[in-house]
Amino acid sequence: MATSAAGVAGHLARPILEVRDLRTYFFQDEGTVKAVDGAGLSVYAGKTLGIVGESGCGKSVTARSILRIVERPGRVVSGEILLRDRDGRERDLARLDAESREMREVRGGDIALIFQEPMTSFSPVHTVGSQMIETIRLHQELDKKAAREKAIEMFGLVGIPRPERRIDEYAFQLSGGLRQRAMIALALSCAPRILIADEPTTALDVTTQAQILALLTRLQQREGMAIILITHNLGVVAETCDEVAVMYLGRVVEQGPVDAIFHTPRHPYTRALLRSIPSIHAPVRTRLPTIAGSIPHPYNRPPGCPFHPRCPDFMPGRCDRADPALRPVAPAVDAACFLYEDAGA
Amino acid sequence: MWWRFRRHKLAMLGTAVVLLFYAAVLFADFLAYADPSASEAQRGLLPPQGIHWMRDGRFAPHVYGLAGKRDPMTFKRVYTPDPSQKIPVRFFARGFEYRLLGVLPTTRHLIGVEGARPEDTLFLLGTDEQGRDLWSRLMYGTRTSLTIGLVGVAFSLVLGVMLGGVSGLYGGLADTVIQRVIEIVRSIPTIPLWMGLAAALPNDWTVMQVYFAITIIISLVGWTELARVVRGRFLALREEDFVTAAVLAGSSQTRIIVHHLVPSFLSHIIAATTLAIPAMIISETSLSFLGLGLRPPAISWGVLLQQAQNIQALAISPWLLVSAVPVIIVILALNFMGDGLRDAADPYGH
Amino acid sequence: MTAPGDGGTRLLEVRDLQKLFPIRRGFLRRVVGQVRAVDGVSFHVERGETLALVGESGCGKTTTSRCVLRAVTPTAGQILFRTAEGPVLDVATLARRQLRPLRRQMQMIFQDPFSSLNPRRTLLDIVAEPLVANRVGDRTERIERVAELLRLVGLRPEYMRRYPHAFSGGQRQRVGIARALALNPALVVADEPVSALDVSVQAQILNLMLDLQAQLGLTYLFVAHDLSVVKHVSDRVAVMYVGRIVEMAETEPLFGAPRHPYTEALLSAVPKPDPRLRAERVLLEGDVADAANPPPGCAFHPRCAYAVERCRAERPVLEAVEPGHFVACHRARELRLRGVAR
Repeated sequence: MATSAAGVAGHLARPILEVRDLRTYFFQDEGTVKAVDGAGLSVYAGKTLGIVGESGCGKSVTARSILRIVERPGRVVSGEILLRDRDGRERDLARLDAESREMREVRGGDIALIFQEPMTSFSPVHTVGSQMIETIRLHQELDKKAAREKAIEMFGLVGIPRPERRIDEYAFQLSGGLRQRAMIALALSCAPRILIADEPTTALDVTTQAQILALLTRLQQREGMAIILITHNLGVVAETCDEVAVMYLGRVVEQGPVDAIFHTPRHPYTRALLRSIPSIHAPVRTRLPTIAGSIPHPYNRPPGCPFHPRCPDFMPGRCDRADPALRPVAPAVDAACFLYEDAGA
Repeated sequence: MWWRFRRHKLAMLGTAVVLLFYAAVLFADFLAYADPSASEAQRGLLPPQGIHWMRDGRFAPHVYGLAGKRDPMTFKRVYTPDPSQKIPVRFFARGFEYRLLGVLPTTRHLIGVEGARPEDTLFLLGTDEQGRDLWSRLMYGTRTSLTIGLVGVAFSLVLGVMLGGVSGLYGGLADTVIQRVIEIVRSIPTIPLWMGLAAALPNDWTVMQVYFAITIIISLVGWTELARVVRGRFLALREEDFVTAAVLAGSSQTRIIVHHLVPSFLSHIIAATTLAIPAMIISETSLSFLGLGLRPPAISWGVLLQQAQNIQALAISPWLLVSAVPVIIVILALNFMGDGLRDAADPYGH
Repeated sequence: MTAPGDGGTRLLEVRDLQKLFPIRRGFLRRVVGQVRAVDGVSFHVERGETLALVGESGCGKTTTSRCVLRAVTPTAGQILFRTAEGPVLDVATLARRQLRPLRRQMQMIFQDPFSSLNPRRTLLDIVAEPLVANRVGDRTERIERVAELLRLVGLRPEYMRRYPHAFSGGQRQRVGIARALALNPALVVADEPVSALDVSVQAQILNLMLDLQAQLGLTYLFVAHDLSVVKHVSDRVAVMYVGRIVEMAETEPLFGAPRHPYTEALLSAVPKPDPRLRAERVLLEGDVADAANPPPGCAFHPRCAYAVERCRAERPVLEAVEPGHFVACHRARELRLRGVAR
C-alpha cells in the first residue's frame, strides 16, 4: 500500500525509509496475534515521524519489525521495509535474514533504537562507557583510546555533566534522566541516519521529559538524522513531530503533517482520540468525551475495519465487511476509512 | 496453570513414570514373587533368568530350570541353566502370603512359578550373595526408598513453610536470625554431617526407628531450600497492592495469609516440593550405600547397592548393580515433573 | 483531641506530617541517614471536594496518601479525621484496635489495575472483601451489594463470577473503585488512578469518578503526576517537591497564575496537544533532588532560575500570599510567573 507519493509539502526528496503493508504476526499456542496487520509509513531525512496509538496498536512491534528484532514466536510475515541509501540504493530489510551480517550492520549503523526503560539496555556489570566503546569499535576502525575520546565527546553532546567521570560509572549509579541521555549517546555513537525512540520519556518525570525532548530536537538539527518517535502521549507528539501516523489495532489509520492531524483530523478514531485526552487548558472539573467501548482483545479482532464497533460514523454493511485501504484523502494526508472512499482522493 | 503443565511433554512423561513407580510402591508385594528375605546360600549369585515366551509355537512363558553341579575344583555348587527343564511361568500365580494394600490377605502375585517343584523358583534378575531374589528385593526396596522421599519432604515442607513464612512476613530480627541459621546449615558439608548424626544412632534401634531417624536427619538440611522459596514469595507478595487493599479493608492478618498469600504461592510450593523429593531419595540412597543409613534387614535401593560394593560384583555378577537404574530413572522423572510444574506455575520466572 | 478550627466542614486535616525512612548500610545494618519522604506537610480537605497532590518522583505524594490511611505509620505529625459519628480522631497515633473500624470510612483506589486485584479470586470475592472482613451482611446481602456496586461503576453484575485476567485495564480499575466504595467511605484516596490506563480509557474513569462524587458526596484526595488529569477533577491543588508542599491553591488560580517557580516550570513542561502552541519552555537544569539528601534551605534552589542567597540559607515557610493561595517561596510576592492560558 503506497502512501502519498508526493510526501509532505516541502519534502521534495523521497523517504529514506518506507514501510509498505507490513504484517507481523505472533504465533502463540492460544492463537495467532496479528500485532501489525497492514502498516504503511514514510520517514524523511531530518524530520520526525511520530507513531501514536494506545495499547495493542502495534507501534512498538512495528519499530522492532523494522529492525528485525521481533521476539519469537513473532515474525514479519509480509510487507516491505525499504531503506534507501544516499546514493539511491534501496534495500528491503524484510527480505534480509534477521541474523545476517548485513542486518547487524544496519542496526546501530543506519538505524538505532532507544527504549523506554534505559536500565534494561545497559549491562549491570559493565560501565556505561565500556558499552559505548565496544559499540563504537564495532562499527568504526578506532583504537581503544580514540574510542574512549569519542565516547566522552558523545556524553558531552547529550548534556551529561562531567562526562569524563560519568563514563566510568555503572547504569544504576545514574538517575533516570542521565541514563536516558546515556542511552541516546549510545544510540548516536555511530551516527545513524534514523533514530527510533520507543516511548523514550514515558518513565521519566515531566520536567526531565521536557529536557530529553529538547535534547532530541537539538541533536536532530545538528546531525540531520530522522527520528521515529513512538509514544501514546499526544502532547509529546504535538510538541516534537513533523509528521504523525496514528495506529489502531495493528494498522495505520491516518498519517499526515502534525498540524493537519491535530487541527483537521480525518479518521473517526483520530477525532475521538483527540477529543478524549485531558488537557491542561480545559476548564476546571470538566467531563471528557469518551470513545464508546474498549479496545478489543487481540484474539478477537473485529472483521473489516478494526474500529467499526466503536465508530460514531459506522456504516453497516460496509465497515464490517471490508478493510478500508490507507489512501490519500487530502494533500499529504492518508487515511483508511470508507467515509472518504467514495469522495476520492 | 494445569493447562500449561500439560503442554510440557517431558513433564508429562516424567509424571507418568513417577506415577508408575508409586504404583509399584503400593503394589510391591504383588509385583514381587519371592519372599525378599528368604535366603538360600546355595543359590547365591545366580545370573538373571531370561523368560522364554514361546514354546512349540504357543504362547507359554517359561524359564529353564537350574541344574546344580558341584564344581570339582572349588567344591562349590554351581548352577547352570538346563534347557531340558522347562518351568512354566504363570501370571497371577500363587506365592507367599501378604496383605494387599495392607488390608486384604492374599497369595496372588503378578507372576510366579506355580505348579513347579518346590526347589524351582524364578530369578528374573538373579540373586544376591545370599541367594535372595533380586527382583523381589528391588520391589521392596522401591517401596522404602520412595516413601522415605515423601516422608522426608513432608517434614521439610512443614518446617520450611513455617520458618520461611515467619521470615518473610514479619521480617526484622526473626528474619535475620532464621536466614543466618539457614546459611550456616547449608554451609556444613552434608555427608560428614549425616555420617556424624547417623553414627550417633544407637545400634539397637529397630528398623522402623532407624528409618524415621534417617528421615529426620535428611530433612534437617532439606528444609532450607523450601524456606528460602517461601520467604521469597512472601516478601514479594507483601508489597503487592492487593495485599495493601486487604489491609485497608480491615482484614485480619490471618485472613490475609490464608486468602491472599497462600493461594498465590501454592503452585510454587508444589513445584519446589516436587524438586525436593529427588534430593531426599539421593540422600537416603547415598547414606545407605555408605552403610550409614538403613541397614539390613531393611531393604532399600541404597542397601542393595551397598551389598554390591565389591570387585566381584562388578566383574562377575554385575546384575547386583541393577538397583542403580531405578534411582536414575526416578530422579530424572521427578526432575522433569518438577521443572514442568515450576514453569507452569511461573512462566516468567520471577 | 483538637478539632479542626472551622465550622465542621473539614473532613481531613493534616498537620506537620513527617515520614522518614532510615537508610541502612553494612553487615549490622546501621542507620547512616534518613530519606525525608514527607518533610513537614500540612493541608486540609473539605467535605465533598477534591484536593490533588501533584509532583514528580520522590516528592512524597504517594507516601503522604498512605500515611493518611495509616497504611504506613508516620514518624511525626497529626492526621485529623472527622468521623461519621462526630468526634475527630488522630489517625497517626490511633491504636490498632480503634483503627480497624475507622478504616471503613477511608478507602483507596490503586494505580496499577493489574496488581491491585488478587488474580486468584473472583470479582465477587474481591469487591466483597471489605464486607466480609467487617462482617457486614450475610451471603445473599453481600452478593446483592456487589451487584449494586458493579452496576454503579458501569460493569455488568454477571461479571462477578469471573476472574480479573478476563478484563481490560479500564474494567479492572472500575472493579477497584467498586471495592473502595463497598463500605460507603467518606474519604477516598486515589493514588494515580488513571496513570496506567490508555488515553481513551482515562477519560472514562475520570468521568466515572466525577459522577460518583456527585452521586455519593465523596471526598477525594487525588494523587497524580499528570497535571492535565488534575485539571479535570480537582477543586484545589497542592504541588509537592522533595517531601514538602511548595504551593497550594484552587485549581484555576494555580494553573493560570502560579506563584512558585517550580509550579511554573512544571506547567511549562507539560506537553500541550496542539502543535501551534510550541512556545518557549522553562527548562530546568539537573534532575529532581534526592529525598535522602535534600539541598539546604529551599529544596528547589539549585534548579531555580530566580534563586538568591537567602534561598540557600533559609527554608521557606508555606504561607498565604492571597486568601486561599499558599506558597513556600521567599520571593513569592515579587515574582511574576507564567501560567497556562485557558
